[in-house]
Amino acid sequence: MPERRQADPDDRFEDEFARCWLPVFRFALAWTNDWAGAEDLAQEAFARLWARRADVDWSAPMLPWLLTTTRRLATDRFRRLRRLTGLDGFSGGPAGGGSSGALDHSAHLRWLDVQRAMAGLTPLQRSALVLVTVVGLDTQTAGQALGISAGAVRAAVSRARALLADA
Amino acid sequence: MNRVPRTPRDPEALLEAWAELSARARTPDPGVVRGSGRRGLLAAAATATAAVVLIAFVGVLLVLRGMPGAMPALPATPEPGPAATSERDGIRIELWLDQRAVRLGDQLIAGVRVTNTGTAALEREGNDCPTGPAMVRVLAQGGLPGRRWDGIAAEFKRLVLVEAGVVDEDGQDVLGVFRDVRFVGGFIPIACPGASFRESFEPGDVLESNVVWTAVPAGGRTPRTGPAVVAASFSWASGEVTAEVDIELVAGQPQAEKTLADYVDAALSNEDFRRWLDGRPRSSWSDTHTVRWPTAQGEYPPLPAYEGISGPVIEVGLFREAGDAFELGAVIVDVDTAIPIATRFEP
Repeated sequence: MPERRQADPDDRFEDEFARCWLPVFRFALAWTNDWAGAEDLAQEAFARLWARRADVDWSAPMLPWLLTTTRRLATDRFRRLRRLTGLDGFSGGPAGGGSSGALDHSAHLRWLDVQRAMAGLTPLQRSALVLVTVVGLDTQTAGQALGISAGAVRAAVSRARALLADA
Repeated sequence: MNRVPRTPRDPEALLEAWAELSARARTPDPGVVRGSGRRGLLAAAATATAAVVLIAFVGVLLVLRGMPGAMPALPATPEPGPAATSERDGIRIELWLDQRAVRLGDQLIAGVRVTNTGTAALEREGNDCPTGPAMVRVLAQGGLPGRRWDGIAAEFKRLVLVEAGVVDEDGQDVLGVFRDVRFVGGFIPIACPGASFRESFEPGDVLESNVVWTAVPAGGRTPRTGPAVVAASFSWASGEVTAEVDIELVAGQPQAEKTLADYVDAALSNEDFRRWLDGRPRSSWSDTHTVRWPTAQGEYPPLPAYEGISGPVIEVGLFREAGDAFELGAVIVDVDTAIPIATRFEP
C-alpha cells in the first residue's frame, strides 16, 4: 500500500467503510461460503485498514487492497485453524449450514439452498464469479484481488458457470 | 403453509439470488471495527486467538495431569477485604487472591468484582471467551525473554511475542492468563473472535467472576520464579481500570516446555530467514505466523511443507505484502529442542 500521511484519516476510513463494506463482505462470503465467517473476515480486513489509517494514501482506491487482504486473511485463518484444531475453520461448505444472522427464516432457507449450490465450486471459482458478475469488477482488478491473471479469472468464471449449470 | 421457493439452478438466477441475499448483510457500525484504543478489534482478536491457543494447551495439560473434577472456587475465607481495589470514571474493580506465594505448578484462584458506582451507563465489549468479564493476567518485568537481537530481528521478535500475548504492549512478560473456573478441566472449543458482543453496563450493575491460573507453561508462556503482579483489567468503550496485586512465584514443579521466545530465537538464528526478513522494508509486514503441528488434538494433517518431519514442531514466520500478493517466510522449529529444522518461503 502506498504510504503517505494525510489529514482526516478517520473520516476517510468511514467513507471507505461505507463504500466498500458490501463488496468486501461479498468477496469474503464467496471465498468462504460461510455467512458468519465472512462477516468476521470483512471486519478484520477493515480493522487492518483502520490500524494503518495514518500511513494510507487515501487518494488511491482502497477496494483492491481490502479484497487482497481479505483473501489472505481467509487463507491464513483456514490454514491456522486447520492446523490448530483439525477443522476447516468455517461452518459452511458442502454440508451447508452456519449462521446467517442478518436473514429472516425464509431468506435463511433460501441462503442454505444457494450455499449448497455454490459449494460445488472452489473458493477461487466462486470468488471470480462473484467479483465479476455481482461486485462488477473487471477481470484485471478481480485478478489482482485473487492473485491470478485476468485470463485465469475469465477461465474460472466460465468454469463456474458451467459447473452451476450442470449441478 | 407458505413454502420457500427452491432456488433455481439456472446460473444467472442463482447468482441473482446470491446477490439479493448477500445485499441483506448487516453493515456494522464502523466503531465496532475501530474498537477503542488498544482494546480494539484487532487486539481483541489477537487476545481471543491467544486464548484459543491457551485453552488448547492448558486444557490438554490439565487433562494429562488428571485435574480433579471439582471446580475450584473463591476461598471461603478470603482476606477481610479485596487485595486490591481501583476505581476510574465510576467503575470500581476489586480483586481477591487465595494466596500471594504461588508454587510453580500450583493453581492461583482469583475473585474479581466490577461495579458501576457512577451515574452513567457504559457500553462494554464482551465475548464468550473463558476469561470472564475482566482480563486477569500474571505480569512480570524482564524484557523480551531469550536471546537478545538488534534491529529488524529485535522488532520481529517483539511483534511475534506481542501478537501471541506472551509480552504485553508495555514490554512486560505475560506469564499467564486466568480463565473462568467453569472452564477448568477440559478443552472448550470456543471460537472466541466470532462470539463478541456489546452490552450496556448500567449504574449499580455488578459483574463477578472466579478465575484460575495454573502456573505451568501454556500457550507459549512460561512462568518463572520471582516477583510478579496479578493485574485484573476491565475495559469499556472509552477507558480501562486495573487492579494489581504483587505476588511471588516460588520453585515448584519442573518446567520442561520451551517458550515461544526460544522458538523465535531459533527462527532468527536461521540465516536464510534472516535474509528473507531483510529483503523487504518493515512497512511491508502484515502479521506474524505461529502454528503448531500436530494440532491441539494431536493430529498431523498432511502438509507438503512438513514432508519428512516427524514433529512436533512449531512454525514461526511472517506474512508480508509484495505488491498485490503476500509472501510467507517461516522457519519450522522442533518443539522439544527449539532447533530449526526447515524453512518455508512462499510463493
